[in-house]
Amino acid sequence: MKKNTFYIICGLMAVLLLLLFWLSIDLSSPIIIAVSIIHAAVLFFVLKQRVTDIVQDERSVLIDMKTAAATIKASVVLFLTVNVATIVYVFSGPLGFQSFTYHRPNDVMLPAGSLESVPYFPVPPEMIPISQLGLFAVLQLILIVAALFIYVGFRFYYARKFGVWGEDEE
Amino acid sequence: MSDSGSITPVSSGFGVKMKNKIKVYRAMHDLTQDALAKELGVTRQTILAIEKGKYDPSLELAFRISRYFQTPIEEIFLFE
Repeated sequence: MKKNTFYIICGLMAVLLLLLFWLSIDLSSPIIIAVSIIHAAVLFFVLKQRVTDIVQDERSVLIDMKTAAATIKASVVLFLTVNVATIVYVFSGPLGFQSFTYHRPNDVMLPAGSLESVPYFPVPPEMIPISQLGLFAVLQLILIVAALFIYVGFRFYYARKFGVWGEDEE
Repeated sequence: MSDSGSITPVSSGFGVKMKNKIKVYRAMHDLTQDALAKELGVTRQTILAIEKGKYDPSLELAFRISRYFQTPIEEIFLFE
């Protein structure tokens, strides 16, 4: 297979994944996009093995390796930061280890001296509004896009460092 | 051959520099970068990067280059 054919197939796969992503949201079925991504990844690696006219040498392999390593390092820091912030956010709500506070109602209609007989009522901590849960999906999307940008950035950096865009000979 | 202007220094990151005379030897053999790259099984960009001092070749590639030019490796690659 020629590399241009491979790139066209990759483009079509990306568009198809986008459509399946949309379909997953529409049908509220995450399994569709999850299975699709796994299949697409397997197909990608199988097709890549069949490309005949991609010339890879030690320098391009070095660029690939350095880019992958740097992307993983940067992404781990980014993901860890967001994950910890998310955990703090969620644990500050009712799912965390926060104990209930007790509150005695201040009722002016209570007869004098009878305040001691009124029980304390547990007050739940502030709930995370359901509308804010969408924030986590947006956050995940931002992480994926950020990882892609980090990869492209390091790719350019290492390609430049090892001289891909040098001037032509003579 | 001893034209220091065409010797390319490469920083190894430890305060020492690698230099090479590939461009000189290529000129002596009247080879283009593309032709040399094909002979060695690498891309033209790799030859360009080595000549420009942006990339240190692996030991294997360095030996292949020296074998191709039938010259001792230390004649082509200088470690200073």
